[in-house]
Order: sequence, then structure tokens, then C-alpha cells
Amino acid sequence: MLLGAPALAACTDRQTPPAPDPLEPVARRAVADARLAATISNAHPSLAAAAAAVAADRRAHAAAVRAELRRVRPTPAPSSVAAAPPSSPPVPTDTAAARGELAAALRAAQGQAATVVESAPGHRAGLLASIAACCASHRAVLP
Amino acid sequence: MTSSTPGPSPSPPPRPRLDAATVSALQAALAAEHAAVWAYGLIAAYLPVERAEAVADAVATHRARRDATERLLTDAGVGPVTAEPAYRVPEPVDGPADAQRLAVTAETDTAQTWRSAIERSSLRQVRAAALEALTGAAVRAARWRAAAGDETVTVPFPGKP
Repeated sequence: MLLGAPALAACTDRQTPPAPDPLEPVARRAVADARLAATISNAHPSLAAAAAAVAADRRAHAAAVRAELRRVRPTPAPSSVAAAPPSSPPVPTDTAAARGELAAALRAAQGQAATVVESAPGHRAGLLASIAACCASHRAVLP
Repeated sequence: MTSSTPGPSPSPPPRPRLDAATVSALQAALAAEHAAVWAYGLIAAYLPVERAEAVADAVATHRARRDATERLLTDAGVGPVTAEPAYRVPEPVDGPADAQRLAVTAETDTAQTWRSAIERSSLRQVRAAALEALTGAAVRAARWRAAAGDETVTVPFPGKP
């Protein structure tokens, strides 16, 4: 079987990159929402408290999802969540438009998390369900 | 049945199968829904009339969830847990502020049992119902905290124990 070994080695050399974890886009969105909410909080006094609360909870979501990603895959793929842009997103100067943008972001985040709940393993499904519920609760109490 | 072939008796209509983990999670959620319905009866007595609609909506939602959960268990051949005659409240209720706190407690309790149901059951139907229940409870808890004038009205992970 000596002749077999090099062929086998050649085969294993061709590594396919691991499939992206479905939680990676969830983490990216949480980071982006936290930035958006923080910027809106600074720019619009009437939304300041509500948007700051969104920013805090979305940061907590990002941290929890990243912890889950690290648990499953200790060395993340290069295209991972750490590569989010550091700059602040532009936000509308009109308060109603800014509120609308925040509500739309929360709605999208709720939908994204809810979709993962359907098929994820139990503990992940629980985490994502809480994230979806949290986003819905923020939308319900936006001023 | 008039069939002449001997054999096992005719099979009953097919029942949806619920695994043991799902049954136990649904029973816990049902018990919390019973408690929530009871709690809102007490809450209603202490809240001003402008909160009557919010209370009525909450009661209707918890009753509907209770009934749907009972049906799900009954259809699977499982006896659903029944309501207690009364429940112990964590703090005495003696005014609107206490009543609003009890509403937050009832919503927090149901949220926990529904998140747990999502974790313990992999049945799509159960997860979908549980997510809806968890989301509704989180929204109502936030609204009650806002009505009470709390500084922080949301929690990052509703239903997390």
C-alpha cells in the first residue's frame, strides 16, 4: 500500500473552504444596527434614549452571536464578522426619516433572526429567538 | 367495520407525534399561560381605565395561546396541565404600579417557557408558535415597563433565564 499514500495526500491537500456559518450575517447585521442606532442617538435628541437602548442591545446580540461562532469554529474564516467597516453610517437629518430607518433595521433584524430559528440546533434557536423578540420589542416602544 | 379479514382493530385517526421533550416544554409553557391569564385578572382590577384595552388584548392573547397549546397536547393524546385555583404573587399587589410590575413578571415568565420550548423542541410547528408567543411577551413586557416609566424598557435576550 506504499503507492497509495501520495495519492491520498494529494487528495487531502485540496481543501475546500468551510461553508459560511449562517450566524455570520446575523452578527454583521447586529454590528451595523448598533452603529446606525448610536449615530441616530447622537443626531436626534427625541430618539436619543430609544436609539441608545437599541445600540446597547444590538451590541449585546453581536457579542453573543460571535461567542457562539467562536464556540463552533475557534479560528474564524477571513471573511468573518471582524471585517465590518469602522465608519459611522450616514443617517437622515429628518427625525421621522431616521426613526423610519431604525424601525426598518429592527424589522429586518427580527426577520433575519426568526428565519434561523426554524432550523437551528436548540441552543442557537433559543438565542436567535430572543434576538428576534428583542428587536420586535424595540420597534414597539420607539417614540 | 364489516371487513371479514381478521386482524387488528381499525387504527384510530393518526395523531401528531410529540416527543417527550416537546410535551414537557409545552406543559411548562401551558402552566405559565394559565398563570398569566390568572394574573391579568388581578392586574385588571388595579389599572386605570386607559389601560383596559392593553389588559384586554393581553388576556385575549394569553387565552388563545393557552387554548392552542391545550389543543396541540390533546390532539397528540396527552392530558394538558390544568390551572391552579390561585397563584402566589411575588409581591403584594396594592395599586397600579404593583399591577404593572406583575404584568411584567407574567410576561417574563411566559417568555422563559416559550424560549425553552424553542430550545427543547425541533418541531417546526412548535417552534413557530413558541417564537410568536415569545415575541408577543417581549413586546408586552416592554410596553408595561414603558407605561410604568422605567428608564430601561427592553432586555437584550427576552426569555433567557
